Amino acid sequence: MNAEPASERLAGVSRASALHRRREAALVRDAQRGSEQALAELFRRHWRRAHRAAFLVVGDTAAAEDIAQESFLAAIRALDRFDRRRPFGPWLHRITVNRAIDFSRARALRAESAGEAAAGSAAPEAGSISDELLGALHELSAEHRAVVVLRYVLEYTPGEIGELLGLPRGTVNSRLRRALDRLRPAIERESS
Amino acid sequence: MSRDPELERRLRETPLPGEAEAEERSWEIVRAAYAERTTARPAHGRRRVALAVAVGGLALALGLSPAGAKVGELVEDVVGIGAEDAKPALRSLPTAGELLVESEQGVWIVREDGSKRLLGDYEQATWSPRGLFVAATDGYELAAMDPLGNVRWTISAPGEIADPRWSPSGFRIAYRSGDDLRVVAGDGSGDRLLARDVAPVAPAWRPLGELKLAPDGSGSHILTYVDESKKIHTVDVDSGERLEAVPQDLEQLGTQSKRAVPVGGGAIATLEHKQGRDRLVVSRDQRGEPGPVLFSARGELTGPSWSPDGRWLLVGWPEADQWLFIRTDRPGRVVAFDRISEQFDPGGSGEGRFPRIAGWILPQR
Repeated sequence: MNAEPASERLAGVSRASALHRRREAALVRDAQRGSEQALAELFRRHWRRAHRAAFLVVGDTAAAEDIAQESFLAAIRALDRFDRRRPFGPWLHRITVNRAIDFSRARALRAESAGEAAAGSAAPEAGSISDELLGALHELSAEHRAVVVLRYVLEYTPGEIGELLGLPRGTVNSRLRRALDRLRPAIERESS
Repeated sequence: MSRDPELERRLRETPLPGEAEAEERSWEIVRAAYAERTTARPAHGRRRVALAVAVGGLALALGLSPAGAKVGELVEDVVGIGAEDAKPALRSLPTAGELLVESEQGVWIVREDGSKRLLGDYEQATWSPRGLFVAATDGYELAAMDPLGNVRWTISAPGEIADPRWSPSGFRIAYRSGDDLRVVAGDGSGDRLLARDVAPVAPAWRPLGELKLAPDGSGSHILTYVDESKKIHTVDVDSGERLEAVPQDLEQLGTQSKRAVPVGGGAIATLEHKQGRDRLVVSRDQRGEPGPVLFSARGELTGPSWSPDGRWLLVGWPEADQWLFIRTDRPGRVVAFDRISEQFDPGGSGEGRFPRIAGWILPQR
């Protein structure tokens, strides 16, 4: 049982969040100054989520690895220009998700030009993640998948997603709604 | 917008295949790129001298280490298919020399300024050692010509001709004819059978620097080949004497497919295939230790070919329809050219064989 008053819990969360942000800003500053240890900590904090986001958008483990890696490398190249007052995560996630969308679009174009079925080429790899859910996810467009990933994996609000992807908030909400309508049957079937 | 806890849980928590290994691989690349960035920044105060030394060492190491594979502009090239900033046409070579190219339409010479000349409807070709002539195959015929395409001589062989290789001395050309290995003099005379039942592997001449010439001039044409039982033979072509292969013979033998040795030796570039990717590895270690990865891409790469000055490697990327010139001593420097098939098969369907580099030479005309 939690005896903390709600206000204190909220304050605690807020303090933890602020501390986390300050700690991350310090890590970015140290990384800018040449600390590999700071870079390692940033990598440890963010790589898995970036990789997961990329995988869920592109459905291909090798491509997801490339995209997450490339995103970090792009971040390193731009590290000196990075404004430490801004959070590192969204910056990285924007790069990752946009690259994943670009990759998916390019793959779809290649599949069309090669006369292949686009759906076939974009089919997710078999793995330990639920195949049915992944299958349903990959019936959505890359743009819809990106919105789902930003919302449910990276935990952004629709307003933040809109800012990250340059979309109106209403568009984000409608994409989320449509995506959920398509994904829910797969989840329910798996749960039952 | 309502949330869906079950969807969130599944998307966030379900394990992904190979995640830990992927993280480890990525960290190595990221760390190396970061190390390069760190050392490239200006040093201050007393650290300057120490850092200068470190930078020198690191620059060397990066040229030879996996770190060099993914830094600078190169990292843009490895996502998806094709280098993003590829030039739309082969406008010039990045260093001095001329390329000999085999394509669907025939054999071409590409000059340093990017201009091309189609020598004719030939299949395979080899430079003479100083770039004064080209020997090219056409079915059962072997022809020698100058770089303008003027044919000097032709010979016919009993079987279809493949894998011509001009000797470093310039006085012999070895080639396969069906299952036979044959040798002809550089002037087209004295064509003769050297061995039967050879494997479909290009024969390799011992490099000039490795030859030990006898006072009578013998020992200048040492050839290594593989028979159909995969046994390697080394022979003095002129005397017929069987010899022990030296390491350089074996290095040269490997250069007909996924390996290449620069002029003068001292390094081996190899294309390795791992986990759906081709990696260009350069080893300068005499012991054959695994070398650094200079470039990595999805799918298959072809080549590699060394530039005459040993500073660039050229690899093909058929899936992207690109050629990539990769600097070996400056990590991350890649010059990419697009639409390669079309440029060497104008008017064609674009579905023929991807242009192959048969040689990159600095002509001494």
